[in-house]
Order: sequence, then C-alpha cells, then structure tokens
Amino acid sequence: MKRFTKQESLNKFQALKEPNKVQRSNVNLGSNGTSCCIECPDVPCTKIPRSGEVSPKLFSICPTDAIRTNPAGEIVISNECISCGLCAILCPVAAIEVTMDTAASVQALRSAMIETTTNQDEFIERRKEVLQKAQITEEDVIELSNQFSMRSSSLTQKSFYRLVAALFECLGIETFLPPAGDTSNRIDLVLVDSVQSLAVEIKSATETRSINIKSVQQALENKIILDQRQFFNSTTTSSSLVVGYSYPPERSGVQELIVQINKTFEIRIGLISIVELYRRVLRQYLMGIKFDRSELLHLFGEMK
Amino acid sequence: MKRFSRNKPKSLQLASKVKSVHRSTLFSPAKLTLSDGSVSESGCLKCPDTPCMKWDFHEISKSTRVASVVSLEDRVCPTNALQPGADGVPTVDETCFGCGLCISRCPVHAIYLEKDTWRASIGVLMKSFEFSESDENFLTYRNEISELFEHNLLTLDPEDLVPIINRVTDLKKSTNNEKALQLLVRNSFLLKGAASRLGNPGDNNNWAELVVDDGKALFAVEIEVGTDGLDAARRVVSDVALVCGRYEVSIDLVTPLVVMLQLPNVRTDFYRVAANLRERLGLRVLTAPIAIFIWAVLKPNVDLIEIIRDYCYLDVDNVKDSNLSAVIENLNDELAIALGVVPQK
Repeated sequence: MKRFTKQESLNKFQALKEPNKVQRSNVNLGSNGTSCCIECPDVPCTKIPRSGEVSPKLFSICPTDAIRTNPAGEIVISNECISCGLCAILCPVAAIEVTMDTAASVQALRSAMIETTTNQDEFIERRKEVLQKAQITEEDVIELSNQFSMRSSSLTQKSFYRLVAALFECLGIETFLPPAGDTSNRIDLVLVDSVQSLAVEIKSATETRSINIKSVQQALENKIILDQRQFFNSTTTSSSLVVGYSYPPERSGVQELIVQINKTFEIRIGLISIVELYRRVLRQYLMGIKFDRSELLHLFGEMK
Repeated sequence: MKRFSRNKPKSLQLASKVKSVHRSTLFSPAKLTLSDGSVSESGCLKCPDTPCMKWDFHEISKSTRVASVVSLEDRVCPTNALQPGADGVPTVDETCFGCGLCISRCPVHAIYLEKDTWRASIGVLMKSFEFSESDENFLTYRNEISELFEHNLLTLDPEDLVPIINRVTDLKKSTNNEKALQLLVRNSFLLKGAASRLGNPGDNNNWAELVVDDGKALFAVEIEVGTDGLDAARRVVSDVALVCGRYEVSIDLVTPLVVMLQLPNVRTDFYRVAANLRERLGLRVLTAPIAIFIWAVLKPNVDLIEIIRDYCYLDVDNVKDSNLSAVIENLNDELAIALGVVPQK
C-alpha cells in the first residue's frame, strides 16, 4: 500500500480544487498521483446505499472486508485485498489505485477538502467535478474486465459469491445472500425486487472452470423454489440465472439443455460470465452507460 | 447334423426323471422331486449360455419408445463376482453382496444364498445327473425343468434382507459402485421383463442414466450412490426436459424416478422440492429405495413396476403416511427403517 505524506497530499489537493483536473488512469484506475482521498462522509468506496427493504440500508462492497475506515478517519486497505477493483471503480476521485500484480490497492492520505464544506450535498456536487469526464473507452473496459475477471479465478467460493453480489449491487440491484445452512432457501443469491426477484446460481472457478450441466440443473431448481416458496416476490416468466467464471464449451450439452428446458417447462435460464458482469459495472461507472435491469429479466442463454 | 441320437443323452434322463421343482427358502438350492419319489437338490448344469452371468443380446436391446443410446453391457452380476470356473461351475468372489440376480436367473434354481456369509453359492448336481454340454436338445430339457418351478412356495423373511441391504447401502461413492448400482437397477427391470437401457456415461446425446419402458410406464431413472437425493432429482428433471424437448413427446409420457440407497430423512428439503416440482411443473418425481429392487429380485411374483408406480410418489404432504413399506411382507417399523423403505425422522 502506498501512503502519501501530509505535504504531498496537500499539494495534490490543489488539483482537486480545480474542476476536471484529475484524470483516471485506464490501467490502474488511479490518478497517477494527481488525486487523493477526500474522506467522503458517505464512503462510496466501501458502502453502497440501497432501499433497505429486506436487508441493511448500506451494502459493504469489499468481498473480503479488506477496506475499512480507521479510527483516525482514514481509508485503509489490508492485505486481505484480492484486487477485485471495486473500491477503485467506485472512488469518485480516482484516489485508489489497483496494482495488477500485487494484492494491494492504494489511496492517498487525508485532505482538507472535507473541511471546506459541512454540507454533504454540496460536497457530493463538488466531488463530481474533480474527475475529467469520458476518458475511458470501450477498449479500456474490455481490457480491464478481462484483467479483473482473470484475477477472480483463484478466489475461494465464499469470496467469489460476495464478489458477484457486490457487482450486482454496483449495478443498483439489491441482493440477498442466504445465510449458510439455511436448508429451505438454498439459492446462492437472490436479486431482490418488489415484483420480479431473480434467483442466481453461482459457480466459482475453483468449483468449475466453465458453467456446466449441473449449474443449469440447479438454476432450474432455484427457479421452482423461488416461485413456489415466495420468500421473495417473483413471476413465472422471468429468468433463472447462473453466474460463473466462463461460458460452457460448445459441445458440453449445456446450450441444448437450456433450449429443451425452455421448450418443455417454459423456463428461461440465463448465463452470465464474470467478465460480462464486470463490463457492465465498468461501463456504468467509468463510461456513464447506465445498466438496464431488463437485460437480466428475460435473459435466455449467454449474456453477450 | 444328427438330429436324433441312438444313445439317449444323460440330460434327457435327468429331465424325464424330474417331476417337480420347488424351493421354500433362498438358503438352499431348489428341491427336485424325481419320478421314483426321491428328492434331490438342484445343481449347476454348466449351461453353455451362462444365463446366471450374461443377458442375451435380445434382452438388453429391447427398444423403449424414445430412442436412447444403448449400452451393450450384458453382465448380470452387478459387481462381477460371478466368474466362469475351471470345471464349468461358476465361482463367486467376496464382492458379491447377495442381491439375488444370479439366483433368479438360474433356470434350474441351483444358486442359493449362503446363510453365514449372505453371498451367492452354487449347488453342485449329483453325479448321476451329469450330461453332455454339447447336447443340442439341452435348452429344451432345461426349459422343461425350469417350467416345473413352483415360485409361490418361496418364503422370505424380511429380516434376511438386512445384511444384503447393509452391504449395498455401505457402498461408497465411486465409479465402480455407481456401475454396480446401475446394473442392479437395470437388471432388476430386465428380470421383470421391461425394456431397460443404460446410457453410456459422458455421452451428451444420452438423456438419462437409465430408461425403462414396460409398454405402459416409461421411466427416466437417475440412481444416487450417496445421500444427495436433491442432486438426483435435479438430474431426473433435466432428463424429462431433454426427452420431451428432443422427441417432442408429452410430459405426461415420462415418469421421472430417483433410485436411492435409502429414502432421504424427512427433515431434508427433498420432499418439499418434490412437492414444488409437482405444483410448478406438474411433474411427479418418484423415489424408490434400493431395498424394493432386491425384494423384487428375490421374490419372483413381485411386480416391481406396479410397486414403483403405485407406492413411490413421496412428497412433503404424504411422506409421513407412506405405505411403501407395506410392499415388503411382514415388515415392522424397526426393520422398515433398517431397509431404508421408510424415511428416518
């Protein structure tokens, strides 16, 4: 983890006072030293606000809880960091840098900006002006999403599940991870909605490199459990999803099974690779392309 | 080829002498009552076609209404415990778990269960009954003896099933054991005359582990070695999707069947999922414990398919009042749990 001295950070803060001076790197998502942590009171790098209907009003983004606010009010990242990149993507002033080779993410020290205003809305407005707009291209997004998803291949099942939940939360979708050992609700993850909740079957790369027949069979069972038990509201026509590391090879039989399940039971199974999920998050945060939830609702086969 | 031999073959002497064939217990070979009133134990005829070891091609290749890849596995013994012996009498090794398939296949009922080991053993024919293997009328003589068998005399104490079931349910999950269970289930259906086809593992064109068709019911069968009944249920539901989708047959035609070593515990989610599948997809997933297969193999007059069809639908609403255990005669509660035909609570 890289730390700046107080003087360094004060110098950098000069840049923050001038609108659109900070440029986000398309390689490490940081600012190449032009930005620093402004100690946002709403900690967008750590928590995402949500409706709080079924779960806490704030969702903790970090899959390993590596990012924390210390007693001095500084954001610190422990070496439990798995370099998933989410905090760096979410940091509004590009003060966190993801190093691709080591696990540590980096952020600058405290600044005086928080003292310039006590009004949170004003703070958030001013924060929006720090970064230059539209510097990340679709090519950058593809490169970054490949890098991030590749790194997820070695994650434990638990971290992978939390990463998937965090990616959906970043897209503005409220998630519910049933507690371990709940035998009546064995769905890996539920995308909660007041009308059309969706079940998600998650397969980490350590379980299976690509989405397999078993995942599809489980997604079918998830849909039946979700619709029949009504822990969450759902409709029969919406899809049941599988998120995995990569898509199945052509001759695996997975694609045919999805087609026949649809033909026989009129149930749609949608497959999402972790790289596609990253792409949507990166597009939304770095390119300003808002994710459309309807892309998930009736997904059939692979998300492209 | 000489059709009539001047010298009567010895086997003809045997057939003409046998007046009745019956057995009241599985623990000794059948009793042959001869024309002179004497009684003798049946014994191995050293059949050249070895029905105790092998199925005929026409038996394993009977067609089901929906196409399925056919396995040419013709073995009768699930564990391959039965091997040709040097003197023509098969030998049985210690892998035998006493399922009774070879016992039921022996045309002259010469194979029996050894009481102390609970393994199959082969009776030896008394010397005076020996005959020539090359005899062209051998099959006719054998059939004559076979048809004399009075199966209704056979009694079986369900307590005697316990050592067999224990050996089967102790099977650990492994490729060999999966194959053994597949053969036990397929061969039970074959024994009862139903077309029963195993798929080849790893073949994506294959849609079920086993397909059984007796002309009335068409079963898609998944066999679970281990305790994950839910996984088997998921597999069998996708079998239904594949067969209905591929062959454009109605969902009502196919009955999904999960075969387990014993019925899942009532507290597991299994029976709730069964109810959910019925409500949401209109699909009745049947669940059969392995004990009923062994019971049906050992008891020649038991209708296995009828039992499965009429007693094996179990879900959260009916599992507590299930009368599946009643299909095995003289079963008390304790025995029913030991055999896995009622779920543990």
